Amino acid sequence: MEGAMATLFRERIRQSISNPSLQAALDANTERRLKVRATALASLPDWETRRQRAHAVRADVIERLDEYLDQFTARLTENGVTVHHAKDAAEANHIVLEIINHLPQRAQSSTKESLVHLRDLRGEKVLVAKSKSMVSEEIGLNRNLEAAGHRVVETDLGEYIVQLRGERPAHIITPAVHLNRKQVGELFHDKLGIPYTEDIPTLTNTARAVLREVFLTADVGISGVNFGVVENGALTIVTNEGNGRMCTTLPPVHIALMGIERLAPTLDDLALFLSLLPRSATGQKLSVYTQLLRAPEGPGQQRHVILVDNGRTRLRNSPLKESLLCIRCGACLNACPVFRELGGHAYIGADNSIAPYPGPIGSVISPGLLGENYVQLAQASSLCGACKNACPVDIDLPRLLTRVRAGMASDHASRSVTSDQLGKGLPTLLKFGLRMYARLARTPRLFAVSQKFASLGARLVSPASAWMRFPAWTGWGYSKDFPRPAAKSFRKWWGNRKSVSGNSVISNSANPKSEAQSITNNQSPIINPNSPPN
Amino acid sequence: VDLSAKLTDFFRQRAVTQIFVDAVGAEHLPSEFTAIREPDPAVKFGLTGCAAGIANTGTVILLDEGETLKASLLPETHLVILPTSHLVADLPEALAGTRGASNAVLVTGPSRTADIEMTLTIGVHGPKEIIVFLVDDSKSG
Repeated sequence: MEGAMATLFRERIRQSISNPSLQAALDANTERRLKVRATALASLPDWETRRQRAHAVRADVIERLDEYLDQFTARLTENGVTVHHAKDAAEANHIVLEIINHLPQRAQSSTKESLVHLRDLRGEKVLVAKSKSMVSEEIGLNRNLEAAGHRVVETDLGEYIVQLRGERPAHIITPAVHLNRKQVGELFHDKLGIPYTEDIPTLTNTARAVLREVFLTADVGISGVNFGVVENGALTIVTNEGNGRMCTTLPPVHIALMGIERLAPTLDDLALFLSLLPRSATGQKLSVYTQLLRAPEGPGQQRHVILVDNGRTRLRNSPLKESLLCIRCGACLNACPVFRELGGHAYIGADNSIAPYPGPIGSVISPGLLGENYVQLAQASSLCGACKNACPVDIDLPRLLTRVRAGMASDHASRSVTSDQLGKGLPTLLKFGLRMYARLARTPRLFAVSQKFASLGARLVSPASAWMRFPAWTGWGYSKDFPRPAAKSFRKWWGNRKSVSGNSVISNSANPKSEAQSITNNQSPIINPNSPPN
Repeated sequence: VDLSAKLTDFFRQRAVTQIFVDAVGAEHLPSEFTAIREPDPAVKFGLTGCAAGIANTGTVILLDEGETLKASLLPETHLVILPTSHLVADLPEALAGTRGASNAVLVTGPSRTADIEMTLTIGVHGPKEIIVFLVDDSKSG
């Protein structure tokens, strides 16, 4: 079964790599994102000090999370905000539906202090205007609201586009990163009935007009939260388009969804995070709108906060704890050489579902929060460390990825891992091979014997070249050749060297030397272009 | 040149008669123009005060006094009156000023997106244009 799931994942990866319009879109995104980020970081000479400070503050928040959550909840309540706690996705969805089932009457005029009448809306269709929230993706909120008969409209332009296409976001910051203007033009022509156009301002204006109507008539606005400030209970929401402001200001009910770990102890800490988040995410010194919401907007509005755990407490007690430091900027996605080739939609679970969080951080927290299903994502990494370098809070992502591979993201993760938990997400055959290798490598005598056989076997398979072709079905063979083991093993050479004088060491090395030469003479030693692609 | 003359010039040039205002906007709006105090899709200009301006990022900070948050969001053009005495140096100082406010928003430029092909487009949901009237109030103290 594990072999089958790895095959689906590989299949999806191949589809991404061989899709020219996706590749063009991803290349353009990467180039632009890296450029604007570099420019933005140049305006912050103490970037390195700041990210270390931010790391320390975030680590302290995670360490003392219960204490901070209590204080934060107390402040919110004092401010007139209703606080809900959801231990998992089902509870979070249930809370949202409960709030929707008991909506107040929409105020006729926002300036008049109208009485709040509770309407029982069971069975009535409600319009929800939604601003971007990754937690809502994580808990499958839209699906649940629609199943209950309500209409949900995503109002971030990129989210609106992917919603119209019936897709999931392909990036945590730029959801429609996988599409070009032609595709958006066709989409708006089909779904909104406008004449086909590739003109981006026209497309944007169309969305503005359609969504303005939604903002003005929505019964409920739902948003995410970038940071909750413990000292004064402010919900900080960072946006550029203004849809976040609309969703939190205009409808009579605002529901904010936030992960329990997204806290900043003080406003000074918030200032520190805000100096890092927009620069890392979009290359801006500050986003256009930074909201600090504390109270409802007058007596006609209700403000709710749902503090979502959904696996975070478990993650906090696991070896993947450091991933909770994440501030969701997406910089590691743009930095990752694997993500740049795949895009977010290739990050799928064993059940073929797209992971809510892709890229390096997603390959840790998707399995960390949602379990075994997404463990295979951690295989889609070269562990090059670009993600760690890009991270504004210096999360050691390569280390966390290796821990996911070692089985530490499983539901009952403990610090000691049994051998059959190892190699999560690997094809069964490869796992078997690695297990065999581990057994051999741990027994010196067995290892020496197998070396001898390997060397002999290799010369039978590949008598003329210093490289052996691997068949494609091995998973590696379609793109790589394997160096032929040396005729004389290092162990043997070392043994001889000890038993003879210094001079003969040189004469003994003649053989390895010729081996080395034959390697450099080979035209394409690592990637053989003649290998069959499949 | 005083603020009233500047505003009159601006609105006459744009041929505007109705302006969505908050309390500060109402106070400074020249009498020949009509002050609108409620959201109205036909009103394309908003005039508000602000609590502070951040020098090094070009940010204005709006608090929810009356209709400030709506008058600064719904119209296509947002005009802000910023007395020089309200300027602060940086973000930490500005955030400290919002500590007790019920709701605040830091506005840095017009509404924008780059969601289609990473192409910067101005004016998605919020104002397409934001104009700051910086009023030198150093003499009046």
